[in-house]
Amino acid sequence: MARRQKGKAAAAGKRRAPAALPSPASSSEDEADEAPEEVPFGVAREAAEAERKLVGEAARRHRELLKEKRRRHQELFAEQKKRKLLPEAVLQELQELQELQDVSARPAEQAVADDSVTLDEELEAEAVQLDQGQAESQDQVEVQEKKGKKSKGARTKGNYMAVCLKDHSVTGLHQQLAKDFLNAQLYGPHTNRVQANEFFSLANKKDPVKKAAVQFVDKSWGKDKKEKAERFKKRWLATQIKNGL
Amino acid sequence: MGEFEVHRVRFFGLVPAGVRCLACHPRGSRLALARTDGAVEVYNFAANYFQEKVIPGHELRTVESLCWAAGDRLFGAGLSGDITEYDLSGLSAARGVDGGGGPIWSMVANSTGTQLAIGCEDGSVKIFQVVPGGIQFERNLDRRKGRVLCLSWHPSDTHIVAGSIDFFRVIDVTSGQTVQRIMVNHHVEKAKRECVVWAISLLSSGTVVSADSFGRVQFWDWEQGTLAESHTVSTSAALSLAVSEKEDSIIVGTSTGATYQLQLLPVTLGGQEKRWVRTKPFQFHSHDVRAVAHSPTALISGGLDAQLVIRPLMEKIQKKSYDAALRKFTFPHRRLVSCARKARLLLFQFSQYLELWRLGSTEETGKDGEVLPLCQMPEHLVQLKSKGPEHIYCSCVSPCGTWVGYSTASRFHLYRVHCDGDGVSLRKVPKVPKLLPPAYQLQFSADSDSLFVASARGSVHVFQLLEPGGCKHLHTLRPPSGCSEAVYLLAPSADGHWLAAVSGDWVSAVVPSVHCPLLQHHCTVPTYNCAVSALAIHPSTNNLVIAYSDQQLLEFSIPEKQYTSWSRAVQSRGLHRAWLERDSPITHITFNPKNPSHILLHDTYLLCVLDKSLPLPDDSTLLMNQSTLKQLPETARKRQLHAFKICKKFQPLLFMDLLDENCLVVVERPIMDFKTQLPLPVQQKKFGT
Repeated sequence: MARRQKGKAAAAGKRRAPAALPSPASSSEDEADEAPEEVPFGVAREAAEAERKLVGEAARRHRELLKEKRRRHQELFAEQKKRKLLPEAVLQELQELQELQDVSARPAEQAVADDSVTLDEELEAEAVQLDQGQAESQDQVEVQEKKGKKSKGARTKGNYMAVCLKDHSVTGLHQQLAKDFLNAQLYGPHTNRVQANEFFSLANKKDPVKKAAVQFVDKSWGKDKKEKAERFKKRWLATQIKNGL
Repeated sequence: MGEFEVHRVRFFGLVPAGVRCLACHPRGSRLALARTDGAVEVYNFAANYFQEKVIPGHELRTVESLCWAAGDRLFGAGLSGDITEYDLSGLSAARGVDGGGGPIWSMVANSTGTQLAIGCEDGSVKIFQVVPGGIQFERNLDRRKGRVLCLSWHPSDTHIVAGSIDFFRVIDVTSGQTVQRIMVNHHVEKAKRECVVWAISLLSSGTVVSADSFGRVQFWDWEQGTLAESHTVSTSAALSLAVSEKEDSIIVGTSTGATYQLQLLPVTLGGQEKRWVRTKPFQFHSHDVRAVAHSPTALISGGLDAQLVIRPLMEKIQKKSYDAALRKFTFPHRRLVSCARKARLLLFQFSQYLELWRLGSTEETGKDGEVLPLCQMPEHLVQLKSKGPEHIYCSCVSPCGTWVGYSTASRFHLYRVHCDGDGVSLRKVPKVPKLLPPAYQLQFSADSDSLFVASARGSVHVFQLLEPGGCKHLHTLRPPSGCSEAVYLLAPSADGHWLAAVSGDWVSAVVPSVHCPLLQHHCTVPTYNCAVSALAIHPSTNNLVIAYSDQQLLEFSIPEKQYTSWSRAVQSRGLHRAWLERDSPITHITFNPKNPSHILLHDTYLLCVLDKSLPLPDDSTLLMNQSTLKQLPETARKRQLHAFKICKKFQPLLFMDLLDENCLVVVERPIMDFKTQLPLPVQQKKFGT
C-alpha cells in the first residue's frame, strides 16, 4: 500500500506540472465504478494559468524575434543611405561655396534685372491706364502679363509649384509661429474686438445731434457693376467720337 | 489774404504705421520710436519734439524692442532673430548679429549700457557685450521652456527678471541660474486661458511689477515668492509698462487705448508706509497702446493708431509755459508730397510705392467758400512700385513734370515720364551712377535741368539731366568742414545759382550750384540751437527763409550774407505767442512770384500767407483774425491788418503749394479716413447704444 501510494503521489506530482488533470488510468486501476475524482477548482485554475503563461511566453518570444529582425533591417538601410551620401566635410564645403556664389551672383542679378525692368515698368504703367478704360482691358492685361512672364524666362507647366527654399527655411517658420502667437493673443476670440465702423460710430450715436455711422455707405457695394458701367461709358464715348468724325 | 481757387485734395491714401516700441535716452532728451513697418524715428525733446531722424523700414524687418546703449548707440531686435544697430548719422540699419535663439521678443540694456540681454522664442536669455565695433555674444543664462516675452534688469545689474506665459522667473546674472519661478495664474480660479505676461520690471527694492493679459498690474516680492499687491486696471490686456527713474510712478498701456498712471503714495499724510495707487486714467488712443515710456517730466505713449502722445506731469513742470501742454503727433514732420507746378502733377510717397496724380480742373468761378464743380476729374496716372524689400526714403518730381526720382536705402532710381494725349508712360533712366550711400533727399532744379542728391557727411551730388532720358554726374558740392551728418533738406534757388542745404547737425550752408573751383562754398547761416524744419529761397530777392522747429522764422540774404532787416525786426519784436505755441512744425515754404513780399507756409493745422509789407502783430492782438477782419468795414480793416494771414479751414494738412497766381493746392488727410483701415479696436460698451 505504501508503494502504491508513493507511486500514486509521484505520478500525481509529475502530472501536476503540465496540467494537473486526474488521470483516469490510475484511479481506474483501483476502482473503475467509482465516481470520477473530484478536482478542486484551484488546481484546475492553476493548470489553466500555467498553460496561458506558456502560450503567452511563446508569443512574446515570437514578437521579440520579429522586432529584432525589423531593427536589423532598419539599421542596414540607414547604413546603406549613409554610405550613399558624401562625407560631411565635403558637404559643408560645397554649401559654403554655394553661398559665396549666391552673394556674388545677387548684385549681378540685380543689375541685370533692373536693366530689363524698363519693359516691366512700361507694362505696369500701361496696365494701370488700361484698367481705367476700355472693354478689351481684361484680354490686353492678360496678354501683357503673359508677355511679361515669358520675358522673365520662367516656365510653368503642369500642376506643381516651384518654391524658393530660402523662404521656407526654419527661421521663416519660427517667425511665422511667433507672429501667429501674437495674433492669437491680441486678436483671438477672447479679445472682444469689434469692427472699426461700429467703434467709431459710437460717438456719432451719442452726439446731441445724431449723425450717420462713419461708414454708412459701404463703397464696395456693387463694385463690379460700377466698373462695368465705367468701362461701357468710355467705350460708348469713344464710338460716338469716332462716328462723329 | 487774397482770393485763391483751392484744389482740395483728399485722395492721398496715407495710412501711417502704428507705434510699436519707445525708448527714452537715459541721459538726454531724445526719444527713439519704432513703428510696425520697421521704421525707426528719433524725436528731440529739446527742439520742441521735432522728428529729427527717420530710418525707413524694411519688408522683412519687424522691431519688437529698442534700446539705447553705450551712450548714443541705438539697438533694435525683432522677430527675424537679429539684433540690429542703427547708424543715426548715416540713417540706416548698420550691423546685424543673429541672436541665435529664434525670434527675439525683448531686449534691454543694463544700467551702465555695456551689456544687452535678449529674450528669445526658445526660452533662453542671452547676454551680449557692447563693444566699439558692434556687439559680441557673452553667454547664455539658464534656459526654461516657454518664450521669454519681456525682460528687465535690476538697477544694480545683479538679477534679471524674465516674463513668459503663465509664469515669470528671476535669474541671478553672475551664476546664470534661475533663483525663483513664480506662477502668475495661480490666483485665477478656473483659468480657461493662459496668462501672458506682456511687460515686467524689477525695482531696486526687490519688487517685481508685471502687466499681464488679464489686465492686471501685480506687485510681487520675488524673494518670498508672494504677491504683494494686485490692481486690475482694465478688462482687456495690459500690454506695456514703464517705470520712472525715481521708481515712484508707473505708466501702464492697455489694449483699449487707455493708459493709467500708478504712483507710490504714503498711506497716511506724512506717514512712512507707502502703497501703490492707481491715480490718473487717460484715454488718448483709440487702438492698443503697445509702447509706453516714462521720462523725468512726462508720460509718453504710442499706440497702434499711429499717434505719439506726450503728457507732461504737472507736478514736475517748474514754470507755466507751453512745455506743460499735451502733445500729439500722428503725421511725419517732413514732406511726403511733391508738386510739379506747371504740369499740375502731384507725387505721393508711400512706404513701398509712389503715386502720380494729375489735378482736376474747373472752369467756373464763385464766391468765398463755394465748392466749384469740376469739368475734369483728378486722374491717377501711374503707380510706381519700388523694387526690393526696402522702403522709400525720399522722392521728388521735377517742376516740369517729366522726371520722377526716388531713393531707397541701397539704390537710387530715376524715371522719365511721357504724357502723350491720354496715356502716360514711364521709362527708367538707365545707367544711373551708383552712389554709396544713396540719396537722403532729392530735389530738382527750377529749370528741371539738374538734380541735386543729398548724401552723407554734408555733401550734395549734382547730376545733369540729359534728353531724351539720361543723367550724368557733374560734380559734388562739399560742405564746410566739420559736418558729419547727412543732409536732410535741400532748396535750390529759382535762378539756378544757389543751393541751400541743411545737415543733421543743424548746419545750414549755401553753396553755388554751378561748379566754380574758386568759390567752393559761399556761406553758412549762423547756427541756431534748434533743428531746421523747412527752408526755401525766394525767386526774385534770393533771400533764404528758414523755419525752425521751435516755430522761429528767419530770413537770410544770400548775396549780402547776413540776416535781412525784416528778419531783425521780427527777432527784436518777437513772434506772437499763439504762433510760438503751435504743435506741429512748418514743413513747406513757398512764394508767390507775382507778389514778392508774400511768403506762404503751412504746418499740420494751418496755412499762412505772411505779408512782409504789413506790420507785425504784438501779443495783445489776435493772431488768427481773418474771420473778424471779414466782418469789419474797409477803414477799420486797414487798421487791424497784420502780417500773418492764417487759414485753419483745411486740417490736417500734409502739403500746400501755390500753383499759379491765384490757385492753391492743399493735400489733406482726415484722420477718420485712415482709422478705419487700422487693425481692429477693442469694443467699448456705452449705455444706450
